[in-house]
Amino acid sequence: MDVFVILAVVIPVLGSGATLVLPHKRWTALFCSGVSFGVLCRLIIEPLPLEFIIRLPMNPLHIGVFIDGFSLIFALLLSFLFFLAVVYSSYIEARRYYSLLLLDLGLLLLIVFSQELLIFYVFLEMSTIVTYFLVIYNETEEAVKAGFKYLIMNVGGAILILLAILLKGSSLGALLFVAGCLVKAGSFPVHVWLADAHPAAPSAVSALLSGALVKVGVYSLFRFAPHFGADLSWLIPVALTSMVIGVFLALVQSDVKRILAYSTVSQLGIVLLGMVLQSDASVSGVMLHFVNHGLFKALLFLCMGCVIYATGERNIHHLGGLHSKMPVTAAACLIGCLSISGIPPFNGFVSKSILFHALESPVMKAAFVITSAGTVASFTRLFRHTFLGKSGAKVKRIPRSMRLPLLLLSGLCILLGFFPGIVLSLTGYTVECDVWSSSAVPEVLLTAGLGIAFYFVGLKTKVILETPSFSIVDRFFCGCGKSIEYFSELLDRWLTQDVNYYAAYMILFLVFLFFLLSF
Amino acid sequence: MSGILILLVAVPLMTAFLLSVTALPQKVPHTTLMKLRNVLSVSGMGVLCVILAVCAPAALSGHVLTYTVGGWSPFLGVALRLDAFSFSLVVVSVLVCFLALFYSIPHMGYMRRMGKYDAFYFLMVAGIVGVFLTRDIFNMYVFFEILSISVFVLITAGEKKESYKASLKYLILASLSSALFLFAVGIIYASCGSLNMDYAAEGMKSMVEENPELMYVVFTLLLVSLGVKTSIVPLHFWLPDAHSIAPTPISAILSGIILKVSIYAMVRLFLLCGWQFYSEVSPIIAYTGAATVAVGTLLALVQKDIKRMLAYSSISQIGIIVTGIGIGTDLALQGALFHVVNHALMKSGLFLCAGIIAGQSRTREISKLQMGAPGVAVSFVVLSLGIIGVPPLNGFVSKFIICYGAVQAQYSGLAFIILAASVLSCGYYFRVIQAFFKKKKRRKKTPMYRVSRFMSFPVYILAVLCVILGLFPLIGLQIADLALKMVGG
Repeated sequence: MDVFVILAVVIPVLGSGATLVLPHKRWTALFCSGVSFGVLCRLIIEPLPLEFIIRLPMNPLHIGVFIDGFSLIFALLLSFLFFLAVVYSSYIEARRYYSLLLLDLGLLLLIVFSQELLIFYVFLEMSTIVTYFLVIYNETEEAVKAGFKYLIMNVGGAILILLAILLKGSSLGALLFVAGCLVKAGSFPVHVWLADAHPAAPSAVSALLSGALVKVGVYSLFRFAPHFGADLSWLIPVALTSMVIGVFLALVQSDVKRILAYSTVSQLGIVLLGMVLQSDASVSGVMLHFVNHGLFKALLFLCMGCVIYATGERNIHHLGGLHSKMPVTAAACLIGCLSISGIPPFNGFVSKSILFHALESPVMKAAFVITSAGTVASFTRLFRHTFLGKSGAKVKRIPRSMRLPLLLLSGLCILLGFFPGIVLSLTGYTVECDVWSSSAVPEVLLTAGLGIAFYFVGLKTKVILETPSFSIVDRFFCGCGKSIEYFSELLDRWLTQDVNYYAAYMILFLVFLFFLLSF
Repeated sequence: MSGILILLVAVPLMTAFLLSVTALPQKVPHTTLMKLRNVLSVSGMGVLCVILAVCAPAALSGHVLTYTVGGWSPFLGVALRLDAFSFSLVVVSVLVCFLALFYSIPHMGYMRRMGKYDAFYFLMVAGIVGVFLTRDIFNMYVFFEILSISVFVLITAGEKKESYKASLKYLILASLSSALFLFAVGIIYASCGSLNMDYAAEGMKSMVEENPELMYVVFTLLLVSLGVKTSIVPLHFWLPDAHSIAPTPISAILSGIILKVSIYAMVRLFLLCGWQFYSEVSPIIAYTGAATVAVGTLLALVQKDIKRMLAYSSISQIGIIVTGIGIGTDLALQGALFHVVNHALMKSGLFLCAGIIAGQSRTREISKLQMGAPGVAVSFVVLSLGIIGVPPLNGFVSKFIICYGAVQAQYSGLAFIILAASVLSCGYYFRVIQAFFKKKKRRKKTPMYRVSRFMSFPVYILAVLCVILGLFPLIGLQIADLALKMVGG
């Protein structure tokens, strides 16, 4: 069944060239991403794992393809989200946008399918660069700045992975690999690119970033960390901090897309935690949460994209009362909010409870409950301040093509809430945990109650009404960049002199070398 | 068959002569003369390409073509030799010079009216090809001088005040380095009795055993004199001025080819002393290379002028090559040789792109650059990704091989420096690229001039070559492997 895999990858890559020349760019893009998704669906009925090698002419690297349940699930999620992104982006005219989207899809599928480290790195780096051009698509000052931060941090992360590949076998190599993956996954303390890149990118691209791209980091950790024999237990505190810090940063933001971005940090923390524990239950929970988070986070980003498109406003304090003017968007957003908060019967509930029951120590459980409550609080805030209350702003009509993805995604959120088995059967792991048991009721009530309490306390104390400038980590990374630049300037000033000095340096160097050799 | 070798040097010399004659007639209109010069230059380059095509099958199958000028015995006379190593570099240089020539057809109107540009251009080509071909160390010095003198003139082709200053700086430092080179040649001649590399190699090997102190002197003199021409740190000072002030096609050749000429000389001459001596001194070369990478990258980071930034980036890339040579294992040397070719293609392409882009946006300041012609912008992105070392481009392959060689030879620190430099180089190249995309405040609408095909096509060709070499790296790696056997043997 190699043909199907090759088709699923090659069609988007070829399509990316075709969109540049063919007259119907959107239809080409739709067709290619749709076909890719369809072909991948066909793979579900094939026996897994699937393994084969593609040899390239005149190239020492071979593309070893390996597909098991996890990679298939991830690939399906990727191609589905890219398909929806193409549908959603009807208001964008530029050819290069569609071309880059398709190319990125092809590269991400290759990342997911690749078996060997080096080839994985090759595609990872390529997709990093392609995504950069998607992030800066709006060409605003803000987008370019955010894109630069995204680029430097992610290329840095990729280079860490390359260095790890070179030093494979040593403990330093394992450490570097994990660090590189964390950058990709936008985990704390290297999440700063994520919070800037999401708001700056076009809405469909932010949906992809959150729904698909950041998960590549966690996926590669899962797939390749065993190659390094890396000890992952030290990641547990990192994951816990990501969870808690992410959600509380989300709670105080005023930019609607930034709220979602920080919430991604915390959700990725949850996924990372489950991945590190590596029990059967937690890993299958991770896989399910991969899909669920991809669906509801994409849904939420697309909803907010609609809100921004209709009102031209991104500040949550200037929005409000949109439920009557944009009923479909409001309903979809409500479903998304309930899903991410883990309220039954939506999909977030299932994966979160599987993960919750897989946790071992009380500290983790406490952190998990706090995170869930914080999520409830921040999404209560998001929904209430955007869609309820007084209405003010004038609203532009949203094209039908932007509404269709919302419907599809919210439908899937409900479907997977009732039938999580669709995904779980693909994972290859079995979970005994019965999430619909009666013990779930007090847990849900506890987190929801705590979350709403958080929200009202925040509202009364006005903590969540103004955005604090809380960015020590961000300043640390910017400071690193600035200090390198400052040092270079010093060096530049110090080395630019008269030609006499240069001749003197030359002779000194000559003498120095000679003495170095003689002794 | 091997008599054809002398033509590789003679043809550009003859063309240079004929071109200088075109400056003589007074009454012929300029346009006719310009046409004549174009025809002469293009046909001169064309003949060179034909000769190379004739030599290609022999050189690429591992044969060595040798020709002794004037039929003297090789012990006394000047020998020319073409093997896979020199062949691949001659091909790349002729290719880049040919493309830069096309680029200068519409670009250098003012300069070319006086006729000296074309004549010195071909003199420079003769110098480049001569260094690659010669088998005689003194003869190498002579060709280096021909090369340097024509470059002095070509740098001043813009006829601006700064260009004379930059050229003078280059003149002083390059003359000093030539003096050191000559000094080394003198010592070699005194102790070996012959300057033909085949004979000198044996003399030098016995010199390593009998008189190692003297050998250290020779090595130091050669390293410093060739180091100035290669611009390794701390001998790099002339480069940023000369490369950024020279006219664009000359900058492309300076960075792309002429730096590689001295690297070629380094590899040839250092390996003459035998592996034992080489492994003793190679750490010095490796660490100097790493210092060059670090300093070049850091300095490129703060440049505001795009051509100056590219010049500093050349320093750091040269550092990577020198590091690879210094590591000295087969793998690292193979990577270094491949990087020589790759950097020649990429950097000359980048300089040509930068010339077009700076011309269109009427400024060389990085933050004010504009996109201009989309094809050129795409080529700039592709070429700079190649320099940064992003797969699947050729720069990634050679950089990775050098780093891999470094780690295998227990030089992990050097691999770390090279890779850290790639992240920083990503920073400075993407500052240029993001300037294309930043929306500018609407200034007065100044219509951009249309880019002539003569200027844009060389850029496309170089970008496509980079992609091809990146997708099918074995083309380059096999030749590099063959070349390595030629040098080592």
